[in-house]
Amino acid sequence: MRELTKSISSFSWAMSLFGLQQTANLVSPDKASDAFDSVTKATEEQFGEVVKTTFNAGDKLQRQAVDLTLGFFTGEELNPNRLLRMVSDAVRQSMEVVTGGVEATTSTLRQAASTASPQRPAVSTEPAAGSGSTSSPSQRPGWGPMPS
Amino acid sequence: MLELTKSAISYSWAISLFGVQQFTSLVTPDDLRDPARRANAASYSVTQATQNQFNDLIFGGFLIGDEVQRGLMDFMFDTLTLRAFAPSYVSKVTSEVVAQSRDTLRVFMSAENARLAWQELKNNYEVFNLVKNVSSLLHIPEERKDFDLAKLVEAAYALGEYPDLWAVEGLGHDYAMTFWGKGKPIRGILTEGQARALPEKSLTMMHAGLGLAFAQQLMNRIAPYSAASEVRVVLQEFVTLVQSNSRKGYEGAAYESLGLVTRFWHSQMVNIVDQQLCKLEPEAVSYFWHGAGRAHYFLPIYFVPGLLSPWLAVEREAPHELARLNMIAGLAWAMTIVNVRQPMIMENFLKYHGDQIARTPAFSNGVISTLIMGIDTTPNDVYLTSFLKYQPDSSDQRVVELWNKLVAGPVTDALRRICPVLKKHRRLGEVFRYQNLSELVERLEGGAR
Repeated sequence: MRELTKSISSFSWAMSLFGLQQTANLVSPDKASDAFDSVTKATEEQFGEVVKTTFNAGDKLQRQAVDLTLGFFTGEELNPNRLLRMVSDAVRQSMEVVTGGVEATTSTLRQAASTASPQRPAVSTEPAAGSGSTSSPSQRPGWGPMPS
Repeated sequence: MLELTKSAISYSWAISLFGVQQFTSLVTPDDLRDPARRANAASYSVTQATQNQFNDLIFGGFLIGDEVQRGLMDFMFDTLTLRAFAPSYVSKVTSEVVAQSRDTLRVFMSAENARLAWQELKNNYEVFNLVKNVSSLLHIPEERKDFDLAKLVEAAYALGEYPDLWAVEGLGHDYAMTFWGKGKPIRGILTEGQARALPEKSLTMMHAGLGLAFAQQLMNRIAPYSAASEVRVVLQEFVTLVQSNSRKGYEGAAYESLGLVTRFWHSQMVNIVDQQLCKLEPEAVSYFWHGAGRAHYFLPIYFVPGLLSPWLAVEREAPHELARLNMIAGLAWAMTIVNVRQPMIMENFLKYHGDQIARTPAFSNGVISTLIMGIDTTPNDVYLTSFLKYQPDSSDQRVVELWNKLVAGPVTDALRRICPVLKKHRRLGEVFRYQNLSELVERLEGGAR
């Protein structure tokens, strides 16, 4: 319980500061966008299969909705063919979200009733010993190499 | 703007679903003995990814807030479980509060103390920036094919006495990074190729930078909730990398950086790494704790003069005597070398903490070791030379005695007797941990005879 409380507080504190950081990043929208994407990717990695499917479906839907809305203002989306395709895609995506949601609920109930499944590793990279191989050689931004 | 909007909505959607995922993890735990493990692990990973996006100032704010909330949570739970009412607990907390208050008061007691505290803060920040901006200062290329190591070492030394030390460390880090993630086994970074021609004086700090690069990359692969076997795999890789890329006798400088990286960026993992390293490579444990002690000097929470004392923190955090001695030595190491241009900072420190630190040999060991490293890296350094010649204000005989006993005496002896032997036997990496250096010298000389 103690660890969980600390972990939730840390997470909340990080999220609050992330809001602040992103406000500062607004002067450079690309940087802000990249920062959002990095945290979103790290969050997505923690999802189980069902939540991941729901996320992907919802994400596609929102991206199209944003394209549609902002495109309308720029006149890009006034082409009837494009508009029709967009609407049909949106309907399909909505169905996927609903299906994903139902699956998630079913799976959760099934999970609760059955024995536990193997745990997702917290950090998932499989390095080749001594090769320094990594999916993203993460040079930490912010505080760089430290002095002695 | 369009992409930013999409990314922001995507992020909000992910965080909302993360809440659902966390709730599900808590109500359907994998392991009934530790039902929150999966949720804790996920929170940790997302928090780490988030803090990687922070700039220096916000990262500092995060570390301070996080340490404070963790302390408060511990106190709250100790109160709820009535542990906080045990006489030993009350006495420990009271003595810590009194010691901290005394330390805070000291900073603001006189204008001179405040001036020296401000100077210490400036030095700390300057060093931090030197290491951080070494790439742009030296125009270090990212690709190995463009890397002219000999020229860059020369450029690092051309920055002048004091900055050169940190620049060489940063250069070691950047050079090691050019070998990273290429899919080939990493071997011989500081023993083969361009590194063969490295001047001897650059070797300790080049190794420190090498260890820093390995530790930064590898520690990102594990979390406090990773299985012990996963932690061991990562630590084994670190040890193997250090051994196969370091010159003989300099491995300690690289091992030490693991402690610095762990305490600075992965504070929840310090005790886990200690436990696993004890089983895997007991030789590296003391270096690890020395680095953890050194990290305290640069942690934002101890950065602000008078806010919290790192000296009290190392006493509180050390889980065993080996850790305590090495952390004190590591902290003394950083404090001495960062403030070497203003010996009055050390004098002022001795004035208020001298009696306390005189009880352990670790403080003097840290001072000796850092000066051996400094003189080896920058022979005839003007600041080191004037530090060695410095004499405190003779009106306070107690401080003069403490200076002679803890700083001047041991350092003079070490430079005359210990440093040449360590150089002769190519064992300068040994100064990156606490140990009786006189005994080491006797052993080395005994073995040589």
